[in-house]
Amino acid sequence: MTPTELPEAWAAEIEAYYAGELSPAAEADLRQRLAHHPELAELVFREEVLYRDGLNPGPAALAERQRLRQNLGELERNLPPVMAPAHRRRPPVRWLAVAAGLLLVVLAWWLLRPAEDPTARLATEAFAWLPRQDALLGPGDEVRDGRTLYDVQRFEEAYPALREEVASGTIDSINLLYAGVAALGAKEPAAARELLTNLLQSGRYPEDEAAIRYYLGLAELQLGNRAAAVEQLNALPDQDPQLTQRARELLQRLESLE
Amino acid sequence: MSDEALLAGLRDSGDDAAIHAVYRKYRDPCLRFLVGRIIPPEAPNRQDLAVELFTEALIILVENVRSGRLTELTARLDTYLNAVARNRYRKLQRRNREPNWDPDRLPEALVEPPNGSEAEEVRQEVHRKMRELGPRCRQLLAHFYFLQLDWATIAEVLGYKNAASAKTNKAKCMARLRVSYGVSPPTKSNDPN
Repeated sequence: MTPTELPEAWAAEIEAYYAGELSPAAEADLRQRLAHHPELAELVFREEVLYRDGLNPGPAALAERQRLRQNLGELERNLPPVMAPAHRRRPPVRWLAVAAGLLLVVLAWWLLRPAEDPTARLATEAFAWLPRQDALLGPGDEVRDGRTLYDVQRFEEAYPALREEVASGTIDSINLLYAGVAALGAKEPAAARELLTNLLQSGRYPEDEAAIRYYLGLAELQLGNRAAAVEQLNALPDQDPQLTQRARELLQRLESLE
Repeated sequence: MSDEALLAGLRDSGDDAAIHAVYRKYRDPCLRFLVGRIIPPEAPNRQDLAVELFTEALIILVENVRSGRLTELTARLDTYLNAVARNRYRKLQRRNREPNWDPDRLPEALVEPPNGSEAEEVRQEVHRKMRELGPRCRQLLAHFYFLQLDWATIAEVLGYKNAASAKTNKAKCMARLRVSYGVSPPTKSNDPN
């Protein structure tokens, strides 16, 4: 670490702090690290002022807002109130009875369902779609193959399509990463684990190791293999600040379950 | 009066007549949208709350147009007003759930500011650097930070494939802003423009 560079993960944490999305534990951890690296104070300050001053209104803007509030308040007082939209008509009693019956069925299923493993629930909550690096942007793109299916998050179709396209040599094997993510999104953690383990062991994509390990960790969690998941999350190289942050928070939440 | 004419009026005239024109034109549909679709019927003082949300949305829009941070709108004015007002309501709800969180209050600084640092100079410098990033990044950052829109709306009005794409590109734009502002060294080439 040099005083000329603020680690990307730290920058991501500072941004999360100003967005109100950093947990108190993560904030305390960040402050502790900052205290141990006084040589980074100047850079941290510059990063902070982006959010504190650069991306927030100054006193002049706040004063103008207040003036406009008063000005528009006077205008509003001279205007008639807007009528609220009419309430929807009450549905017939017959439909209410059908709805109540359905509700009872759902309630019975909810009460009788097997208890969910809390670690598997954490894995589901921590899952987020991983954008492909060369994904096309624009509303006009058409869904054509496994990659575009993945881009529009149609995971159930994307995961087998990507696997077949890699197997046939149509696309590069790095797409097994997206196949693994899609398998997780399609609630197929065993398939995700197999795909991602093979990819990790191939050693061909060291620059994507963080993403591979993160989603492999989620697959292990969904399968109830907590120790294996923790191992993957702890081994995450510091390549992607968002993933690093997510892995750290997931580890903290796992610890809190113990 | 067309949206283009209203926007030009907001941008070019220093008086409040242009703001009043927008207020009068979009007040009723925006209040109906808020009362009918956003604020639940059981909420107290719905009409007053809707007026407050609409007023705040208009003020934010005016502020960004007049400051030059927002040079063009890629959707109708009422789309923006509705979306900004809806997001303000969501933030109010979050503040009710998390009393320690206030979107209008800055959290405590992480490090002590050095002597002589001037917030207004910083603000101007960041805005200048944002303008230098190019139109795509400038629009994206302004929509997120200054209009405070949600990702689904940003993706819709700026033409991104989905919210995740818009978010990914915003991260790239912020990385470029950090490099330009001297927080990060220029190591990666991220150019969403």
